[in-house]
Amino acid sequence: MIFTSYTYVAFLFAVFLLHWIAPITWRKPILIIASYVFYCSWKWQYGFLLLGVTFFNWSYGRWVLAKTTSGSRLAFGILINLAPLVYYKYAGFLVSNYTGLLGLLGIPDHIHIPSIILPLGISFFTFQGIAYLIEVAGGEEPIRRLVNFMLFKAFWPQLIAGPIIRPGEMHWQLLTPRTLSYANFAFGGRRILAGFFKKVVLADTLAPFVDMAFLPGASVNAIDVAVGTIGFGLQIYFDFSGYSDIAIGTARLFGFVFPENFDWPYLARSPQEFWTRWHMTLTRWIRDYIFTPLTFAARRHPNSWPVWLLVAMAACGLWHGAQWTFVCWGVWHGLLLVANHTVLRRLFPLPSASGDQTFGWRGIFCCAVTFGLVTLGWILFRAESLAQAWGMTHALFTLKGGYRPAVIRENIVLIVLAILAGMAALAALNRISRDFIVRWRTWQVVEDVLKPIVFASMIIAVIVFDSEAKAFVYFQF
Amino acid sequence: MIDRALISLLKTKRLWRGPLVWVLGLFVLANFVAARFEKALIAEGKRNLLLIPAPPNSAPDSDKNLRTARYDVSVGRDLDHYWAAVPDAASQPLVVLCGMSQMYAINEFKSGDETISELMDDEMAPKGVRVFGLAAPNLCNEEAMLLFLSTLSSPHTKPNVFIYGVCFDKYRNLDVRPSYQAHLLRDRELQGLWQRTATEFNKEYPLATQKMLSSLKDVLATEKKVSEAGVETQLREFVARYLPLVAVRKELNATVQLRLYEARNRLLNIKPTSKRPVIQARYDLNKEFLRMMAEVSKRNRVRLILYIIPLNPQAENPYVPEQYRQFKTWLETFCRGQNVPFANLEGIVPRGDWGLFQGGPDFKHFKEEGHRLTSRAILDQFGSVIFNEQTMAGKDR
Repeated sequence: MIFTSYTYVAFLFAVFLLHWIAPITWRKPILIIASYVFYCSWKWQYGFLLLGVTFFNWSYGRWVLAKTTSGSRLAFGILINLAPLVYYKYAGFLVSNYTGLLGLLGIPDHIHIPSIILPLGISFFTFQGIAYLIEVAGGEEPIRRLVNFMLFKAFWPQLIAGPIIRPGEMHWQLLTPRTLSYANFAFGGRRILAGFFKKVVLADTLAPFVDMAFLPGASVNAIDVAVGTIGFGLQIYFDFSGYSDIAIGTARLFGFVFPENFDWPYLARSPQEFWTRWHMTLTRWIRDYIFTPLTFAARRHPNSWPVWLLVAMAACGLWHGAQWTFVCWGVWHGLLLVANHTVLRRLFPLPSASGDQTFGWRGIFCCAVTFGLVTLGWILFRAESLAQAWGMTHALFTLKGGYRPAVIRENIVLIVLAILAGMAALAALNRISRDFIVRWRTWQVVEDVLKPIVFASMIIAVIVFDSEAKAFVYFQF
Repeated sequence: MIDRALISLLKTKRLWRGPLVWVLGLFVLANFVAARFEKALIAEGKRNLLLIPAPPNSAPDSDKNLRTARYDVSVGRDLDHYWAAVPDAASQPLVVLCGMSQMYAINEFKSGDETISELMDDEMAPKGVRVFGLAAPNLCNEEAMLLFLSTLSSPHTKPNVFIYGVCFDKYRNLDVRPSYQAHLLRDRELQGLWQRTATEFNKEYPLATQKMLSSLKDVLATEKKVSEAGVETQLREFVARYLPLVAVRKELNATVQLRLYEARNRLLNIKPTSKRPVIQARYDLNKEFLRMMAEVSKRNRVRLILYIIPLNPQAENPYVPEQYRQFKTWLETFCRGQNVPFANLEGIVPRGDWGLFQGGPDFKHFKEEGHRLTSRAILDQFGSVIFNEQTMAGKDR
């Protein structure tokens, strides 16, 4: 069941009614059943995997980790969580690399690599499970009631592609009675609509053009690479942030508050700031559960942090997919972060503690440089192989073909530019409207009139642009 | 037992004083507007596809149409349906005519007018040979390959002759349209043939075969969605019954795309005659597909015939003259080298037999007389090849 399908809208509507009509004691079981229906609608067999992981983490957290500080027991719990991920996601990658290595050494070896279907959302619920065990081992109160834990683990808005919720963020909400307020209803509706619009109207419109530029074997020119890559950067942003919007909005309809996952990432003025605005829940997971423990373990070598940063970002890349392109993408961002703190620290401003968002000429320059560097990284992320990524990067930097595209149509340049201009205008409007509300009360009236027109137009656009429900990019991770 | 949370939300004054009511109001209004213009939108969509108007009181996919259809009347939008109309090649020789919109569009259509494939069928059916047309707007060579392989995938559709009208402009196009993807997805035989062909010719035609495999991968990735699509389709149809906006969404989408296209043309001063240089990688890819079609035809003992489609001599075409010249030379040399019957028919339809497009002379679509002249020219040029004993016996080469 894809979020942007009529089936999902009907499912959401039915569960919403059922949940809020039902007595309070029934609500959690209703959400759990609905979550499993949602998950099993894709492939019912993997519902058992989710159920198994859930039971393991709950019982292990409650009966083992809550009563011991043993590192080896935590490690065992983490390994059990990682086992399905390694099997389903990385087995083929590991085996093919192993045989490749043997081949390089001149040892012939043919190991059959079975074709395994990746369970949906496995990367997300594995990370969530590991975070839970680490938190409990660190002294956090385990979730005692199984029904609460099952809901924490399987609640469908976050199950497939995040946001990656921390146990602490959900635990108190599971213990607190939830109410259906107008504020939550309005917020949820707005976010769901925004998510539909981003995905159906923007991301899906860009997708076919991007696919052409990244078609394996296509002999691309520099302009194809530039436009295709910027297009992909926009596509993945609208796709994933659209998904997150729908997830956050859906959760809010049931009274749950999820953390934000995106905050205008392409307005970041440094690579470091980018990672505080892009896939924020993954960033903090990598920081808290990989980078910080590594630097802590190596605290006697304080200058070794760049190495750990690179390792953490490489792991972040590998999490996105079992391919060397993803690892290289992670390392590229690791290098940017290291440079941000060392050789380029004078160029990029450090994020201010007050969260000041002022944008001078320097800010615009830094924003453009960061956007360029991040966009360059998208080549690695989207390419099918390192050879393709290299070919595209080479074409870009040698200005192959000048201004003439070899693969894409000229129209696509216009579409990408129009979307970029639209985003810049929206960002500016966002800032201006905030100032206007403070200074000019009439603006509130204008906003009240504009809102319904904008929302209705968005609904109409979603209906008109929706050709078929297309899977979200992040479903594969 | 029942909780009152929902009722208390509905009683919240802010709910009825906020934007929700206005949004709903505007949405209802939009549906009224959509219902009001539904027929006009559908008619505009057909005009844009240059479709021949259906006879009164007949649905486009009615069984009656299917029995009488001598070409894919859906012009690629519902190939599966019209596939059943392909004459049985096991019981008589079959000629398939394939190409872009010129094959089915008739400018200044009058009742009784016929397209190239129908006119050819009129002429050849009495001699025991049937002709069927498979055309779609902007058909690219990957799609032509798909249609070709699809005919080969069953003895009932395997033609003796496959005639392909080559259009230089279509070498700027890529990809298989969704309705053809659906056809590929539903036909397991075709999938196997597609995969085998791509694997077999991988060394000679790396670009085309890689594209074929990539298209197949995309198509197979949608398999799961199609199996789920039952509920989704039913739900959409149900909603469309009550919301005209949903019912006409495809037509509205086409209208929006057209307006954007027109806006772009105005913005950048692009006219039908503005030069469109080749997009090199796409051009190379389409050339590979054509080469591969020649190889596939040889291996399957099907006579492939290529011709360059007629162009309006009155209208300035958008081709870069040097590139078009090179293309024609390449095609002719290629056909000679491969022993593929070839003719350049670009000058056979005189000025008066073309129509108008966007206020100027249409450079690609003609009136019925153009269809007659083209059909005549094909038969004159290739008649001896088509009626050759070996070709008719399917033992060519």
